[in-house]
Amino acid sequence: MAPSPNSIDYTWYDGLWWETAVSPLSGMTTSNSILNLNVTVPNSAKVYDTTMDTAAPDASYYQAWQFGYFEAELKWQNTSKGAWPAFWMLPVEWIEGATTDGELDVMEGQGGAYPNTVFGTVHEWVNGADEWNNESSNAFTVASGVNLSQYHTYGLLWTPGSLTWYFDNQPMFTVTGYPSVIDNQHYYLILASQEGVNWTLGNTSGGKRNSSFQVQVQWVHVWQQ
Amino acid sequence: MLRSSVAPFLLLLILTSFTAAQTRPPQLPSTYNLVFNGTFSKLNRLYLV
Repeated sequence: MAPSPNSIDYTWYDGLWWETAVSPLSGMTTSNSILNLNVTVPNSAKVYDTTMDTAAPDASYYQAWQFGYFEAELKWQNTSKGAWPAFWMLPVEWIEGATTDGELDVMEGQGGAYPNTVFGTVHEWVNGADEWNNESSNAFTVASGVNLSQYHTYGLLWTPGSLTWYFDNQPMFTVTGYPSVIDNQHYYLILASQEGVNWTLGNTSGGKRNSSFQVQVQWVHVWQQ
Repeated sequence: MLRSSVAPFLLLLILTSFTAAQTRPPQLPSTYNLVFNGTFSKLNRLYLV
């Protein structure tokens, strides 16, 4: 593994390491210090996500962490069916060939179906199969009057043996007792605007074809002891 | 589903960062320090073939 030198600490790479095609470059812009991740479906590349992350696809450079507090301020189109925003993390070890790996999802959303719900999930993947997760208890509904189409802060506090999800700096739920591989890997950041109804990337059934889904990000922070 | 091949070219996004101090979230003790400050004041693009 080769951590990025300080000179490119804030380098992001487009797409994920297993993707054979990346989204159109026009989907990534900045304006007034806000990052816009926009995915238009369908597009010529048949790509259903606009994703950027802090690891090169060959792991030659990366920014990744073991334990800490991971937070982002962002907004998304919570009432648009098919909108699937994600602020999540995968381990560098997976890129390098590990067959048992973790996944930490700081936040995900399902536009239209769950406009007032935020999902936070931990997975254990073994040979590509989702062997363990907290999907039976991985969501919270925001208070009345809170609009997820406006900016909010989404956070995950990861300490040895414990994961606590935060919304606007308030704890929402905690998961313990997860597989040990989770704590033993180093995770890079991923920001994405995806399109997929019912958690299925590329599923446009009942969704808005020829429409765009946007995630806007003010900042992303990582804090460590 | 995971796939083994990688896109034929890679795009490197360099996003410059503000240097302004960031406020520690109130739920974190003072032993936590900011180690990554991802802000998006500027986006440069470099193509790697």
